[in-house]
Amino acid sequence: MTPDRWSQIERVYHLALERAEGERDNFLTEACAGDEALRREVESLLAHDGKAAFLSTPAVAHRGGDTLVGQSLGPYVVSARIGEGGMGEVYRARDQALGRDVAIKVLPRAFTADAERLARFAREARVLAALNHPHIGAIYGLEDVAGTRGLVLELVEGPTLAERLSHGPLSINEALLFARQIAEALDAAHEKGIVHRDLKPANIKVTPEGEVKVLDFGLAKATDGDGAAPDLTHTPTLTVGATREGMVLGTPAYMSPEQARGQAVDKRADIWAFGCVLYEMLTGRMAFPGETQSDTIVGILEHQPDWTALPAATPASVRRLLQRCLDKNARQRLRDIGDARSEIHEAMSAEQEPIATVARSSRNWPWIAAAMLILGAIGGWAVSRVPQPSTRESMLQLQIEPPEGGEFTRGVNDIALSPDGRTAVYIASVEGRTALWVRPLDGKTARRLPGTEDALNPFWSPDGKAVAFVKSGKLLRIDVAGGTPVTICDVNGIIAGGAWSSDGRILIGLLRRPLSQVSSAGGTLSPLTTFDASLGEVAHVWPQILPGGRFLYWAASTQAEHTDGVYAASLAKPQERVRLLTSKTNALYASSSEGQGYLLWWRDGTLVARPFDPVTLQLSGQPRPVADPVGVVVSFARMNVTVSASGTLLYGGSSNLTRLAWFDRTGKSLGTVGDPAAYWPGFRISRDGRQVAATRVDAGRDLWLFELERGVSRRFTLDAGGGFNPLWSDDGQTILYMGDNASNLYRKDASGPGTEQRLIYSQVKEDLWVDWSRDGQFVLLVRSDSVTRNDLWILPVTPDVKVPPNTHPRPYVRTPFNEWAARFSPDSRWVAYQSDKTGQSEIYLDAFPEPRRELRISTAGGSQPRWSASGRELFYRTPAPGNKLMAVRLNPSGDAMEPSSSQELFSLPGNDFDVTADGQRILSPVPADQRPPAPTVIVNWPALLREPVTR
Amino acid sequence: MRHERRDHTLQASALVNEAYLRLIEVTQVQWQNRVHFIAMASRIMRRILVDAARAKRNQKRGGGGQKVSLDEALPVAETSIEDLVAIDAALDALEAVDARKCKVVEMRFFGGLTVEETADALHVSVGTIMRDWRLAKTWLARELERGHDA
Repeated sequence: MTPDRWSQIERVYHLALERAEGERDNFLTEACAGDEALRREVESLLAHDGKAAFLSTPAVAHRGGDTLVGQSLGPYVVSARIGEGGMGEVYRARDQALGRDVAIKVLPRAFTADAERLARFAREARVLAALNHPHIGAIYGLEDVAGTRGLVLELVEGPTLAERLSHGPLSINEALLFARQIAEALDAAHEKGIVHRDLKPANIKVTPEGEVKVLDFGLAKATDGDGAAPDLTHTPTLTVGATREGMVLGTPAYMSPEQARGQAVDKRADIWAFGCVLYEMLTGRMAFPGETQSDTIVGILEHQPDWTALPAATPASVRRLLQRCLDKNARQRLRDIGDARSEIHEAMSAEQEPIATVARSSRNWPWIAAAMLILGAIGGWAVSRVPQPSTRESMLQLQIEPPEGGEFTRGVNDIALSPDGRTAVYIASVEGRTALWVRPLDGKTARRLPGTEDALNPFWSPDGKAVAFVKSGKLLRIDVAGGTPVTICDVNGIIAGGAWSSDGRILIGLLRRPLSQVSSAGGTLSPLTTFDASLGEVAHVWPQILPGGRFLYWAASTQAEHTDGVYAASLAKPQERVRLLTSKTNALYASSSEGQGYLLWWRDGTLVARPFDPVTLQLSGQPRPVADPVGVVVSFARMNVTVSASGTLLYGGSSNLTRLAWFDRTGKSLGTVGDPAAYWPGFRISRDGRQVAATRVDAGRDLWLFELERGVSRRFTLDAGGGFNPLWSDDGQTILYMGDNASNLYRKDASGPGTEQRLIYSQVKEDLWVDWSRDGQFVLLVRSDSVTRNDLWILPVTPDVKVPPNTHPRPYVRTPFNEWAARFSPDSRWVAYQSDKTGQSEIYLDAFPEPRRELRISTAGGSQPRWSASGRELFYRTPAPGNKLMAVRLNPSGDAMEPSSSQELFSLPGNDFDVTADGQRILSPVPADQRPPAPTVIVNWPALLREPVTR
Repeated sequence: MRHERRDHTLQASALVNEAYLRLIEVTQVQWQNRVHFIAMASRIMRRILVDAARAKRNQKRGGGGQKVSLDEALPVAETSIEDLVAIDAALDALEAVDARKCKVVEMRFFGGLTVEETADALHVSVGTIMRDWRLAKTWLARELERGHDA
């Protein structure tokens, strides 16, 4: 069916309905003019007209109509609907028998269903009816009304206190007068064990005679839960599906702190509300205002009323009374409303004290309200699990699956949330091709942005209309609404973050370069920051724009690890930077819905947040955990977290991280080295066993050094190509390694800062430098060609680790088969290597520097040969699935070597291993995580900041 | 375990407004117009309810006619699970030919807005909404019936 067709059908349908039933046939014949399909369509619709009863009640809400007006309920005749209380409609009715008007409050249908609750309610009503207090609205009866019950109440004429206060504050005298009456009403009820629970100006009527009547007494309590027992599932108004009748529409402004927290509520809640009402009568303002319910609740829990708003002539005793009523700690609050009454009475009769006392401000620790639960409506994403929110949890946490038909590529870094938090752009791979997809959070369908294949690093424009990304060495932008990507500038290097400032600038982070900037309209990249050479800085990456024309970024240095950190600077003066914190990953700025700014960063697997002012660049408070486990850094030093400006947080667990772990020869684990990371095969223990060099690919592709005794690790090198395949010199002072996309070999001093020097310039791209003899004279290399495939070559080096001039690698073992993974024996007389001449990889031994006849060591497959320092033992690994670590004893005899016993030690947990010189300990990676959890979305994440409330 | 049914009527528009305000920082967002906001909020309600209905349905196969109760803290819908799911599907079909009617249903049925509020939000007359609503309901009724027969 097309829209046009539909319009046609619609037109005819409505016209047909305008005709009388008997005339419709003829009308249809005429209107459809032979189009039988049209006629059938309209006729079938007409047949269903009025049949949709199931739709007449909204799925969620129930809003009554004026259906009761004119009906009789017992002796009452309903004359008009006079309002909607929170609990249902209120009608005016005439008591025919007694000739007076009453109010009938229709209870929600739920009541009829729950006999227990109804009975309870009836009991309460009876007690209330018996109260018979001049300042309490009377209850006359409980009637059956149209399938439910109606509470027949005294109809009090006159405005409510709320209406009175809308014109401004009352005079002090009048306020005290009303307050006293309210206090009397409360006193009478409390004495009978009835708590109002919903005292507020809207529930207080002021008769034309100036008398106060408190209405809706106790009804709030009666409508839910048990009475005395604390009902912790009562989260207040703001939760989805508020459990407090009568409070949903209304403001929670009169809610006591314990009510807000869903704790047990007793008469002290009334005293609190009384304080609020008295404050409001005196000042004309709410004690705890707030634009939204959540703001209000935060105020109730955290802030003091503005005591200075009280009129100057307010008696000191009244001020004190207010403070006692509004003590957030129920235990310290005024306990008996009777005391309030006495105080007021005294104040009214005493002399006015003109001196205003300064309110004692109590220290309130930050507490994010347990009541600030919100709708975690990430509609449209497939939600794999919606956990039950407990009362203590204050936000909704969902796990999301990647959108249908695709998968997230490398983690949540590839998801960018729009500034308003309503849309997400992400990199997904569908049918093997990655591209940028757009998806509104409330929508079901994702849309691919054309021209964004192989795009990287998407980020939004501040107005949410465009997305910028990097592809094939260019920075481009595309309108989210549609269109073709437009090139902004060339980008040479590996992209590590982008940010788009509202002044039209785009900041780009590139590995090994300072932050660059370019105009979003186009141009060339120019530097924004400069490296601090004294810190050996090598990267400024992961920029983020802060409010107020500032930005932050993460900086890496090649000095000891602790100088990696997060800096902030202003766009106007980027060189004047402020160091915010030391961190292994980038930090993100985000603000909560109250406007409190935070800095979030990763600390040992946990996401922590600390209050942060983006204008003064000050951190305050303490770092507090937000979530864990939070994964790190699928790409360089970036935590697997993304935030939107609207308080939405997306984070992913880690994936495929491992830890280097020690084992003894029996396979018993002895401890670990370094942090969980993605380690590249080829880590090496230094000869003296004091250090380990390993390449981490979760943070770029860098070599790290671990000093085992001190338990310190540091980044050894930072390069666009990274650093891998470390080879230790015998004295542990120098490391040779590969470090770029070519096969150059670099050397660098292992201790302290040093510059890397390229040792070898390799013409051949696939060369792999695999070992360095202990005497330092030779380096082994695996080189391949089309005929002999992988072979072993050697290159002599000088004692000071340089290559003699005119010296080139020469073949060592070169056969039509593959030889690789070679290691020198400690005395440099032998080389152990892998060869596949038998069809599967086996370990062989041959003499060095002149090979004689290879000697096979392994029997049923082997890889990764390693020598012990004595040269008497050779370790290797059997193929999967066994992965057994084997130890072979070798006996030199003359010029030959004879393997004697071969021992199976244990199954290696990881894909690589190294052995200490004494052959007693083995280092191998073990998985660091359980199966990584799906990315998690937290909405209103500041609510996760946990801190116990202290006074 | 004590079985306690929480059945509460809510002013859905207030609920949705408030909830969505929390979700999306409305102070920071330039809503083009109120329509957009209400439409989005109603749609979110629809998603939640339907998702929950589906989940319930998958939980208890053959539950038919059961009421949707979305967690203990959430409101009870008057519509059965099956109907909710079917309505959702039918709405998708309706949206394809007449987006406004779909919006009307979302706002009125899922968002709980009155005819006046809906008219106001969509910038059309009350009469238009009533006509839209009538036809949309009729159409949905028919689709649901066809679904049952199928």
